[in-house]
Amino acid sequence: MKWSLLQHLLVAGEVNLENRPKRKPIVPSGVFGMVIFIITEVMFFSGLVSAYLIIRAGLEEWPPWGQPRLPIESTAFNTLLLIISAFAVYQSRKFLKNNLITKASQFHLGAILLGFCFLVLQGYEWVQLLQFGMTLSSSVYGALFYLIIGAHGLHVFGALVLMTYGFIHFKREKSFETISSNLLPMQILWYFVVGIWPLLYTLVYLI
Amino acid sequence: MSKNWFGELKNKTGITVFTVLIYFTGFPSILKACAVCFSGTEETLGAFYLTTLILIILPIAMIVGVVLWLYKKKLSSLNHSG
Amino acid sequence: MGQQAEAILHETEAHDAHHEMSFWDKYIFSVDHKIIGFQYMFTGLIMAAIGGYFAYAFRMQLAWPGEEVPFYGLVDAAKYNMLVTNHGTIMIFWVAMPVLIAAFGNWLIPLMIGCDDMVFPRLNRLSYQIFLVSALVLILSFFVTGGGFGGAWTSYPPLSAVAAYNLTNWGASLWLLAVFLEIVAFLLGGINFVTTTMNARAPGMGMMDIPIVVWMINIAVILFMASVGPLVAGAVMLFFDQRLGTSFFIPSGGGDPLLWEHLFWFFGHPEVYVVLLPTMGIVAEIITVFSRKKLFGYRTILYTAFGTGGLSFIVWAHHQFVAGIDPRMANVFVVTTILISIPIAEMLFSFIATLYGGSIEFSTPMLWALGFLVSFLIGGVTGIYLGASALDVYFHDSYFVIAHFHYTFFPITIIGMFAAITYWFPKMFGRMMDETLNKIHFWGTFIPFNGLFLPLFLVGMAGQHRRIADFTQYPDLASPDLQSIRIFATVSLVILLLFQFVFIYNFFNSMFKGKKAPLNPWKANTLEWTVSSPPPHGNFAELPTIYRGPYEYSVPGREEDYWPQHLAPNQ
Repeated sequence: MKWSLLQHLLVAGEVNLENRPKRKPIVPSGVFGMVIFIITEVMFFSGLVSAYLIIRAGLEEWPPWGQPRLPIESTAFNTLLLIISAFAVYQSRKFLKNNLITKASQFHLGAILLGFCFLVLQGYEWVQLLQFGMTLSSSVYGALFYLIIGAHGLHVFGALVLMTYGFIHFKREKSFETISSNLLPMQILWYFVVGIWPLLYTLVYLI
Repeated sequence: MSKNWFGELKNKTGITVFTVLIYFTGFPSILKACAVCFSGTEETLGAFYLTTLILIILPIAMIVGVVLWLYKKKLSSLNHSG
Repeated sequence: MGQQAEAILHETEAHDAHHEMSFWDKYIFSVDHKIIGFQYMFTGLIMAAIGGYFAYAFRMQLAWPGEEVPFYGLVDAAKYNMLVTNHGTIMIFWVAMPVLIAAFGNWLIPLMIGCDDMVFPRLNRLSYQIFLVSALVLILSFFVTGGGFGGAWTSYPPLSAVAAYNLTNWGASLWLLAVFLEIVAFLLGGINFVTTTMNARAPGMGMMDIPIVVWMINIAVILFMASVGPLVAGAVMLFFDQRLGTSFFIPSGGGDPLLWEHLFWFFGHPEVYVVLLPTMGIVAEIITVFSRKKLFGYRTILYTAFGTGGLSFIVWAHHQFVAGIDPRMANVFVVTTILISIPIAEMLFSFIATLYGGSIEFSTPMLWALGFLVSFLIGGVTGIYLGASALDVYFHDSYFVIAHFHYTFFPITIIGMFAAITYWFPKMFGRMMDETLNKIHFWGTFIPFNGLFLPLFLVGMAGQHRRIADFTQYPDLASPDLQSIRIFATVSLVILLLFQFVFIYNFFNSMFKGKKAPLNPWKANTLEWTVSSPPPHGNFAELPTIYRGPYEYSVPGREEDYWPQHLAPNQ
């Protein structure tokens, strides 16, 4: 008796949701949600950058004594890889607009592979730096490096997982419009991840 | 002469306000009287200024940017349909 | 109208028979926004009970130091620290945010803007699940060795960063982890709210036809999204300091403890407006409905809310006036801090102007709303003193600050929550609450609330510091005068807590046995009153079309004094 009372207590029944008119929002929900998410992400990275600037200003010697220098050249090559991958995504969108799904999927895959290369090279760099004695706890210098670059690396990884997941849209969907709109949020995230990297590179490696 | 800017009452308030403003903007470090205050170097203070500025400007700029972007989209969609 | 609702009920019952969902699908893993709203609400209420219990324990210690507290036990210094820390954390992160924003946001937004559900329903469910985990992690942190974290809810390093200082090795880390998870949960929820309001409004609903409460929740969410990033960054760094041996905030290792305050308060101050704005919206709804008058200055309120949002990003350093920031910077923040009282005051004036000349009905939600106006005014006015850096040097960390922010947070969180629950209860559960018990509960909460926090202004001005567990060790503060004020405050708190049992009884009794509620008991205009109560999955049997703004009350030349948004102009 009590049980059936509870059954209708919080939500009573269900409404038939068929025949609802389709809405045409100005900006698709996925894109809009991703834009808001990116606002948060920008603030997250600006928090990290603030920490970097303040801690660095408080220390007289930078990098501290006995800590290795960061590899500027190899990372510059890495930066180039990331930027090319953003162009690949851009090309993929262009092909999609012209309804060339196979070509678009190839460029999409290319972008994923380039991003993957970036991660692997970055990981290799970390291994070397660790061997040179730069660890999280060796100094604030190392800690800030691993924190900022690691946070970015995690974002690249997350975006890559999303992009790889997005790849199935090419196989499953038929209409290029659906593919395009389904892929757009992840591509925006990828642009963000690529776009923020040169800033971090300049901040952490160059100056 | 003593009736306008240098008038009896205005003179006092004017000079007080002026002095306080000068103290507030010009020599605030004189007001730095607390025992626990220690701010590292001038560079640290500068970094705090810079990051404060970044943190203030970024969110407001981004929100305003998104709102303008939506507004533009809305206008263009109205133009398309109408 | 009534017949239509009957038809909906019959239709839905028939529909239900076809496809019966299991209890788990229906109530635990549901993606329905109303169920998720309830989940947030009940979790928040349970956490509120825990927070209130903690307050009881440490207030008893302050009134009768060193004596055993009934139903708790002895409160020593470490336990006192743990109690105040977690009281603050729970009340802000696990009560104010989930109840005001997540629960009412989830429950109200789709109903008020006329759509079936949130645009990302599964994201919504994930948001609650992460939130639940965060609450469990926090509760777990009370039981690990060393006890719960005791470094104040602001958790300033190096105290919070070094286990040798705070003596709560695991408690501190779990506390931090819980806060982190809670923030992630609200990020997911917040994306959902803004996108839903942007993209899923009923046809005909323009930007200026959205009810104020929906606007306010959205502005609050945007403020939260744009300010939380630095705190997440800081929390990660603090966690590294605790567990991985870095020294971002430890001066001996090259870090800067002020940095944490910088990052924390950048979020911490907008957070105040994040919880304030939804309550402002709730109060606006209630005041308009029970004054039977058009809301005074819909656009004014909206623009002041935008102004508050913009200004809220540039006031945060007023928390650090004595922390050693540059005095030149402090001056700037004094000006902005006092500036932000203008839009808030303007909003309150709008509410008062709405009341002016209205035919006011003193139902319980209206009493709560008026109680909010009165008590929040005291909180806001005392904030002006604290905003001036010269006075803040004296008042900082005193009970004056405690009294000030409880006069803002208590009205916002507790009074706002009760206002919303009593106002929307008929729609939520389809039954009316007992009005007499409700009024007893209101007076039994409102009077002891003032009895509790007004005296704290006095002890604060006498110089009582906020982080001392036992004042008997300080001769100046242990005087019988001050002690009797403390006892008065504690007795008020106990009375306040006891009256909450009236609410609990009334809540559950009305939920099961209350009088059946009509479709629109308060004769309100907004869309949620047009669906059957409780609303079915999918909310609207037929998607409504909006013809006017939400506050058309007492329109001249109309028979009824309200004009629902979905009625065509000739109806």
